[in-house]
Amino acid sequence: MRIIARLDIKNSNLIKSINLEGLKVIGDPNSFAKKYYDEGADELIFMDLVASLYNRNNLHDIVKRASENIFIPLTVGGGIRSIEDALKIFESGADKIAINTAAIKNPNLITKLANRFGSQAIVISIEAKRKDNKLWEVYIETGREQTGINVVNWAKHVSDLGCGEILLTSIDQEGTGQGFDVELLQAVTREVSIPVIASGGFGKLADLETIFAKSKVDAIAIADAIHYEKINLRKIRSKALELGLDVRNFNQ
Amino acid sequence: MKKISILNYGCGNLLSLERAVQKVGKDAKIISTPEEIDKSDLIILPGVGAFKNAMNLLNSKKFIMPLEKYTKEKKKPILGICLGMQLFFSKSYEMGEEKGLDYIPGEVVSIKNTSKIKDIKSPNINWNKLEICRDTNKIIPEDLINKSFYFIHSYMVNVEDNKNLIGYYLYYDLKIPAVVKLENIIGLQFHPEKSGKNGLKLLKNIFEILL
Repeated sequence: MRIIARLDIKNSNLIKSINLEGLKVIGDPNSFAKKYYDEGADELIFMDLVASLYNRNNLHDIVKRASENIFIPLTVGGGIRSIEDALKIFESGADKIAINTAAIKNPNLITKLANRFGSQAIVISIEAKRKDNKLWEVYIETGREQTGINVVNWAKHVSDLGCGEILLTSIDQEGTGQGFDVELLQAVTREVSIPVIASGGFGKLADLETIFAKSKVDAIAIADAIHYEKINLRKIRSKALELGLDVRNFNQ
Repeated sequence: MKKISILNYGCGNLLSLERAVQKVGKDAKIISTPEEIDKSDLIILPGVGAFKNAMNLLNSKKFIMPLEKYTKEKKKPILGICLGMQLFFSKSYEMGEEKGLDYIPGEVVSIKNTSKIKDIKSPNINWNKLEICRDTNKIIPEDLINKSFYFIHSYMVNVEDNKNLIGYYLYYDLKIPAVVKLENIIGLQFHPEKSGKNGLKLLKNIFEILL
């Protein structure tokens, strides 16, 4: 199980968002990224929350700087529309790219990207909003626009198209600290055999217990719970070990 | 200073690799022409993506013959990482049968088809603990045994001759080769450049052994 630090970014600032809407500036993403690396994050996700609106990703410099002194995988998402966009991000030092809107608009792009860069480098970011009892809808444009597509069906489809991993964000839980949407994670992990990263809602150690008891997720992404130091990565790792989860053996 | 070259054939995150090499105090140069191969003291063969695609790229850039001369005739050191390591083997079954560089006997097979467990997760993207079977050259420093390294792959190698297998990790019902060595050739299935401080420590050690 991987413990991932997620950094949502708007105009070069690390921000706090609720339901994927950027609310407050927290600080410089690079200094937070370095801190999480030192504290034992297994991976970092940088997500440009407004890139989609402007059709471009502004994270190149942030990623370039991060890859100077951070030696863990970096996933970068937001506004990636084409092979060329992807190439630019990879050249800045990203190991994986996360795409959402462009994949919905042109699902063939997933296969094209996987053929060019390898499946393992392509993460499909799914923003899910609960509609009904155990039914979720895919949203795009950072949670602003609905698609009418069922989340579980889409997850199966993108896995068939050749993506290597799914970043599954619950819009409802994101930024609330009220725990993951366990039913959503259950529904998706039951249907796909590629790794799924749970995102949105982590607030306390007990959330870890619930999610692993009830679903087969492979990783958790944590954002403001660590940005605001409500909890730190060491505590999360010790709790995971205590629960008998297979986590990275990290002690420097 | 000895020349460490990272072979650029259009595959892999070269920037991170270059920075990792620099971080452990060595000079890294990204090389893109066949002529530069022979001038290197150590070559790193990176690689992500599909086996066939990588072989095609190596072929079209005319790297295969000079690499073979460098590795097999001159017996100069080469380090393969992830797909780069898989390319060292005889053949792969990823997207149909495809011949590899054939430096180490063995083949590349899918994790999913090799396992007997039906719902095995693949690709495996995880930090897995390194186990050692034999390591006469001490490639893995004592304090890194049982430490976790970052793996991301859906294909694995079957090493034909067990004496070329140094280390492995356990995944469901599989014992997946993680470190291989044959004379001047070392292969790592995981990404040392993405495995935090322990990964850097390992790289440093490998450079000391190979150079």
